[in-house]
Amino acid sequence: MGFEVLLKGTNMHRLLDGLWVALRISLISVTISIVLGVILGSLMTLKNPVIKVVSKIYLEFIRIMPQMVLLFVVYFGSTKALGLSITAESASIIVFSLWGTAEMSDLVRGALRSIPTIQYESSYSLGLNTAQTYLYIIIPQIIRRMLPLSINLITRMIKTTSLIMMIGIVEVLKVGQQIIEANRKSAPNAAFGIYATIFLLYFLVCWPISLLSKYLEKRWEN
Amino acid sequence: MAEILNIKNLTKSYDDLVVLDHVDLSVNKGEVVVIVGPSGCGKSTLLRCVNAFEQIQEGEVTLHGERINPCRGKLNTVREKIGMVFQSYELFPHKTVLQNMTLAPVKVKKINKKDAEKEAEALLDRVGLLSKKNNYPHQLSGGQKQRVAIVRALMMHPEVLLLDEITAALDPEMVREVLDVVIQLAKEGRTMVIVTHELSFARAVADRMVFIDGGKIVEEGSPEEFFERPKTERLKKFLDSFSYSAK
Repeated sequence: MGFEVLLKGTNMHRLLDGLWVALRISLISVTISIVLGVILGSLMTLKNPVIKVVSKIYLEFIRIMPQMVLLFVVYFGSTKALGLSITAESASIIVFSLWGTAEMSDLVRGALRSIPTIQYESSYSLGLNTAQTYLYIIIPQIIRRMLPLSINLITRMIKTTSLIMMIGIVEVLKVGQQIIEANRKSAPNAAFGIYATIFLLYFLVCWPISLLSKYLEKRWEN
Repeated sequence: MAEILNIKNLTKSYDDLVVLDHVDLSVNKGEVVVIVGPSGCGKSTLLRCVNAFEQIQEGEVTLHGERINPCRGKLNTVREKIGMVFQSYELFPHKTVLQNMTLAPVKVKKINKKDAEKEAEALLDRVGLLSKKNNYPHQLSGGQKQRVAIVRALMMHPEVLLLDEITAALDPEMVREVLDVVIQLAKEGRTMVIVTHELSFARAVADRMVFIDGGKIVEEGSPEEFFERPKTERLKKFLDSFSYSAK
């Protein structure tokens, strides 16, 4: 079945290293996306026409563009056309953050808009000031509304990191391919075992996150 | 009687649409003023102007002689003294009944949390909801939510309580439990300004009735005069629209 190849030498260790590369890129991108997404999403609720147009174009652009094309544009395009030399890892972080920020900002905007004005007024009428109203009333509700969806976004970002091998990053999938290639003679059937293992690794990472989302959704259902 | 709240020459308009047209109204301490009028007459807007949720174009609202709309100082310190209960309850959905009630006293008045909880429990007990103190709003019926909203407002010891159509969103069988609470408050001598469509309740609770139509106060007077001997045609017509007796 090919699982035995994993036990040879440092193969399993290499695979886990590859997984870490993918996870590190997702984690950094997710963090950046949350911070920028919250800022952009809040700005989008202001009725500024410039912000409205710019954010709309940005969101549509990200929605339409396949992530792989974006990766190629940023990694290959920017080095040649703009003379920038960015590492493949930075390029992936940029692309994933662009994508994550767009989706996060849309979630933040939606959550902010879903809270009716009268909920703010209810808080003001009790004497709470604006800062207290946001801190105790609005933000906790926004987080509750957003968290399940943001967690879903995080798992999607982790899954999509499998694309970054296309710009030469040796992440878990690439390591898997290398192991398969290297053992082509001794274990011609290694592909199944290796890919199944990678599948399992992705599953082990994403499943708990998905469970957490379900748990929070249930706990906060009100 | 000492005047608490004074509305003078208040005009509110949205662009060209005049919602309130030079309204004067004064409310004394311990008085219950009930405002009625056809939908869209501006009665809810008037309450919102008192709490400075609406900017006004002319006139002023004063509380103990201190101007609150247009407001120069800090709005939140003014609003602390004015309790408001909304048609849609507006409890905080992520907080339990007890947390809903203690949040403002603890955060705004800096009252000790234990003391605030004790007071909240006593108030909940009075409105028959002590057993629900650890429930979340979505676990309560409309009538229960509204009773919580009323006692939540009381936690801040407001000088005036504004009730904005607080039974309008309730199922008929829940109206009573909410109005009973309000009648109790009236008996205690709370100062209240109430906007409602429940005329029989209005009659039972009001010290003074006010009829607003077309953004103006058309008629005001004691409940007896108001309901038995309305002076204006408009009020007669309005009151008639509520009676279904065969002609």
